[in-house]
Amino acid sequence: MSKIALVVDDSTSMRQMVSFTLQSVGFDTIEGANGCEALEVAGDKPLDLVITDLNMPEMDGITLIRELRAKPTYKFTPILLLTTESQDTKKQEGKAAGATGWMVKPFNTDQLLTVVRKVVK
Amino acid sequence: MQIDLSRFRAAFFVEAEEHLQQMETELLQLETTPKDSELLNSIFRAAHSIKGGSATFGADVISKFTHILENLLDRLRNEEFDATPELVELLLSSVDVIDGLIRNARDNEPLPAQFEAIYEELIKVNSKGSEVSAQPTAVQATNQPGTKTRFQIRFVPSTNCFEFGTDPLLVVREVKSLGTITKFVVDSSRLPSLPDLDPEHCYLSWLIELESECGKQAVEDVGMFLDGESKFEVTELEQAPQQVEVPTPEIDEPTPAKSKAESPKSQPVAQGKVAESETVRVDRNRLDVLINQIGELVIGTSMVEQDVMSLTDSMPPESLSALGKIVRDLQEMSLGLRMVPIASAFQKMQRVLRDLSKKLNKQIDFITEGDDTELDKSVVDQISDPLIHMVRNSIDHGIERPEDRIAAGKSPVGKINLRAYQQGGNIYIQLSDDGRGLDRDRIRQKAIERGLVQPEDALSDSEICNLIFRPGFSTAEKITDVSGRGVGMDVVRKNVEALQGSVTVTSEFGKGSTVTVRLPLTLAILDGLLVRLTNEVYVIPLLSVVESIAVDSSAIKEVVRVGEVIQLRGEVVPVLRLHHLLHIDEQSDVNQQILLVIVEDQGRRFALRVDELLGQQQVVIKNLETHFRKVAGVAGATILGDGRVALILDLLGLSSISTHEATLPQSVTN
Repeated sequence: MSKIALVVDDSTSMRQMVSFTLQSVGFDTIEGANGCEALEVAGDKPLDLVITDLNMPEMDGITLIRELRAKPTYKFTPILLLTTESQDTKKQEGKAAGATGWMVKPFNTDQLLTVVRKVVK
Repeated sequence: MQIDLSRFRAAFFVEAEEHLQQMETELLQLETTPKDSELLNSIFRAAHSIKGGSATFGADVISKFTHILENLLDRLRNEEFDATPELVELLLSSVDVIDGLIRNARDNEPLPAQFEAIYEELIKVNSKGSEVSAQPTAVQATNQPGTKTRFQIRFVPSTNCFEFGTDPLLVVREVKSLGTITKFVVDSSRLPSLPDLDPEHCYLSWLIELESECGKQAVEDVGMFLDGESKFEVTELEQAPQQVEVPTPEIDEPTPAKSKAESPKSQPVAQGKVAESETVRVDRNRLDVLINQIGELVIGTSMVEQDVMSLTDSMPPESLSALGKIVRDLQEMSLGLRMVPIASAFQKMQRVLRDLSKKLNKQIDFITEGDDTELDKSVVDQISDPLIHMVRNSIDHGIERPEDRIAAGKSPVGKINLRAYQQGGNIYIQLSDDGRGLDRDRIRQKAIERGLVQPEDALSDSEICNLIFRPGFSTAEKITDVSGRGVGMDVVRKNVEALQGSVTVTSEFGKGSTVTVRLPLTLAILDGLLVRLTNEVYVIPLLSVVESIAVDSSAIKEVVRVGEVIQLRGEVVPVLRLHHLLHIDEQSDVNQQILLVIVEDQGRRFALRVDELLGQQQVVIKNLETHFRKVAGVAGATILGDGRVALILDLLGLSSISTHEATLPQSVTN
């Protein structure tokens, strides 16, 4: 059974890129353009990985992580935060909200997969 | 494996252009409000997105240029600079440059002429004040290849690290992958006795010595995915002597804690594929053109049918009927293309309800039914606003405070039910609450105060309730002292009517209210009753038709201030002479029998006088405004099976013409 990843980014190109990369290593992906959409598509489906952008309209990545972690289904799900802001405050905020880790944009697909392999078996 | 990113570049360029457009608009606004921090933030975010995307998709020049711009914008929003007109000018030029850079990257156009100059200028402005790095984040320093460093790593995962999705073993493996492990100690001293052991906690920690060619930074990076409470301390020992490799000890497989913590992941992952039905995005205009064209096909087919019938003077051949059926099926399918579930509109109500009930301190159970009811996409998009109004009204004025509810013998938790269903060619959306209901006396009183009705007017119960939809019935500042409802309900009616729908309310005082919105399944097709007025054919929307009757001309009475009326089972119904309203010559041979079509609109009934009923037919609505201009009393036009144009009557417009005795422009049928 293939694993399912939720990819959240308000940039369509970014979302497609991440999804495509994950699909190339056998993930099924579902997508959301912001936190609200992400929560909607996730429903309460079990997920193997969540990759979310930080800055998004309607609901940002940090809030999304908090909302996901509040649900029992996603208590243990690895969540990666994508950010171009390398400031520590945002990373720490992400951590505190329950992010498993983060990736700093820009990254290439190899880097993405390396990080994904760290958190998903 | 490196994946080809070029396929995503097109999408990135489209996005970048949108961001640029937004930046441009906002920069122009900034000229008038240079201190608007909201605006500055938004401009910054747009630049930031362009930078991130361009770096990812390998558009290095754009990335480099936007990086400087972003720095400048960041300092601008932090109020290190003022947005002087000169600076805004520079920023606008930068937008132009990025636009040129995009075309350069995408279409191989030459670099924009201003590129160098603006770039230099940005750096110059940026270098004022504090030092800002002009280059994207420097690449991490690595040690010289060949020189190995020894590191000591103390790794203490937090007790609850599993909750954050961290698997300590992965971290340990990652360390191992960096070089050679020379010492590996597992500290199990924190492990409690079995009865005290929480299988979801991690009690182990590690002390690792690593020999690696990587720099300290690279080793520290291994720990970056750990939660804040976990420790991952890296100390540089000394340069490793070139010595014989020490065999790496095997890493212990699962701790008791681990296997349990993993279990949620190993649960079957169902749905996934099933939930995602494949979709194709199609431009809305193309879809409309297609649907329109199929509508024409339907008309064309029935024209052929009629021609054949008149030529052969018999029923059309079977082959033609079969073709007609295919065409009608095709039309039905094409209309289905625009259909989407109403769920997305309902979803928004959840949020409205949550926020408002919290704010007003009311407890409300919100139940939705029929989320998968489908209707026209444009209707779904436009129904949200009226729905929000309705839901807000229900919460604000329908549902009582918990203490009042208890006093009224109700459960303290109010109930609001939102349901959608299809009946015939209509979609109904019903919002009911178990609140205090409408207070007829007060509504009547209010309506009289506001001059909407006369004190002597006899109004039916439903007419009183539906007064809340009248414009001017209630305004926001008055509503708090009105026990009923009313804020914005006229707006609801207006919006719903714009979608060719109608809205009504029923209510039981003290027990609750139900607002029902009726919407057509589609805006493209209408079930019509074809009527003849002298030599012209008109279409009356069938949904509004209550009945049609033939009466003796003596049954129609003349009443002062109202005009012609007819008494229909005790109810007085005004009669509209369509000939008169539409400027058509009346037939000279005045029959004793008069044909009346009784229609209902907005809860009001009236009778339309016609010469003949021709039958009912589905007609494709053609917008009159796009081809001619708006005509009062006419909702649109259609082409009949024989090729003739028939006007579709707008009942509401007709009745207001009749009451205002306004004159209608000449009939446009010829």
